[in-house]
Amino acid sequence: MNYENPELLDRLAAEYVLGTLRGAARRRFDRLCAQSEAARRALWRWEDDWTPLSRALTPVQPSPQVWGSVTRRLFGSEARVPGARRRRGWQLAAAAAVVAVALIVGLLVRQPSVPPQIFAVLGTDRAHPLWQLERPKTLAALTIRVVGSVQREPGKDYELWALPKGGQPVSLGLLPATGTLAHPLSEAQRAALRAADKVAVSVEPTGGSPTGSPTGPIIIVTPVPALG
Amino acid sequence: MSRTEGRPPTHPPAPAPEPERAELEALLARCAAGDRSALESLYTRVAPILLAVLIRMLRRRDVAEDALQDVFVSVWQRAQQFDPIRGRPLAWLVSMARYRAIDLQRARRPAVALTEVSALEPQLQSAGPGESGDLYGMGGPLLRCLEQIAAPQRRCLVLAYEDGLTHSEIARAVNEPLGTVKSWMRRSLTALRRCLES
Repeated sequence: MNYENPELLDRLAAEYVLGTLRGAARRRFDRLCAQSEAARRALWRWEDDWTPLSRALTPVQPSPQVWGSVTRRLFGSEARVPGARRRRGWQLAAAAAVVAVALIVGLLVRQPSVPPQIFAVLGTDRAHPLWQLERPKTLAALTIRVVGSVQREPGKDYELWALPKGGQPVSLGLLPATGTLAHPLSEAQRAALRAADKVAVSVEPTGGSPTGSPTGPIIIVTPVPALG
Repeated sequence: MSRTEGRPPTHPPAPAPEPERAELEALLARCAAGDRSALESLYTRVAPILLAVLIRMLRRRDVAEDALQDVFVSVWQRAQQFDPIRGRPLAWLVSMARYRAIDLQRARRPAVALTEVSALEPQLQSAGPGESGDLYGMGGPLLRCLEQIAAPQRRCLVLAYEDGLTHSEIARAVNEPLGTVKSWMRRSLTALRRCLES
């Protein structure tokens, strides 16, 4: 397709915003936006243009518990993860035993009887794990704990991906630079994580991949155990 | 309804007070700086708008409220990436909600039955542009331009934007062949862009 054609670009952006551009075509436009300022501008213009129609809907007051869930997910995870320190010792000891390929290392520690489980430790260097991934039994959220010193490049974010066997990478969200983040999983993300045998971390523009697929260098690939 | 001073012309007066662009930008900047109270203020201002969008697209309040949580978690994580150059903050927030809903719909797609689409009909007829007094009264280039598009074609656009239906689902909802719907939408979008630029 000739993406230089401004009319075509504008129509693709319009269908992206409407939501009728789906599947591979949607991902292609995502990738195009990562590279093309013109595509991004076309997208943003349609997003702006259509917003009044969203404003025209009668606002609906959320149930009171929604705000509580937001703050619990963002700020309240420390209290919900007792015993993390003990497991961290486990994970570091295990990390030392893992042979890294190039700069890539990952390891699995399965402790099925102790929720939440740690199911992956991510690091670019086996002596320096950066993040550990935990999940509660329900798989409603993925808890990401920073366990190392995460160097943030200006204008870049680290994005976590589920790599389903034989499928496209599915974003699991941005990795935090500090602290602990309980990242809620959508149904699609849960499905991808259940089907995944590896997770990966890529370096993306701030805000994450604009395309829905990794666009920057993949710095970590780590096998993960099958999730029930 | 009266316009709020300084509002960009494409934002019509709305049933609820329009969150001001500058105010939302300031709240996002404070979120980016780690100010939790700013997230709460932002939530108070825009969560009801986003929830309306999500309920319309996801059709179930519980699913929509889960998605709303996801959106606000993302808002906090990504606040520092909001660039006022990219567009209006409300468009950024609404887009985040809509794209989340589209992702969730994709996962739930097999559950979307024709009967559900049909059950939507009365709601659409009462709320589509051209049928709603609110929308008529709101003005703004988008609504003015939508009104210039013939009703069946306009309905396809609204089914896509507000309800998040795919081409095939729209074709079933309006009982027209898929090819017709696709070419209607192509032509309507070209006409819409031309009108928006005029």
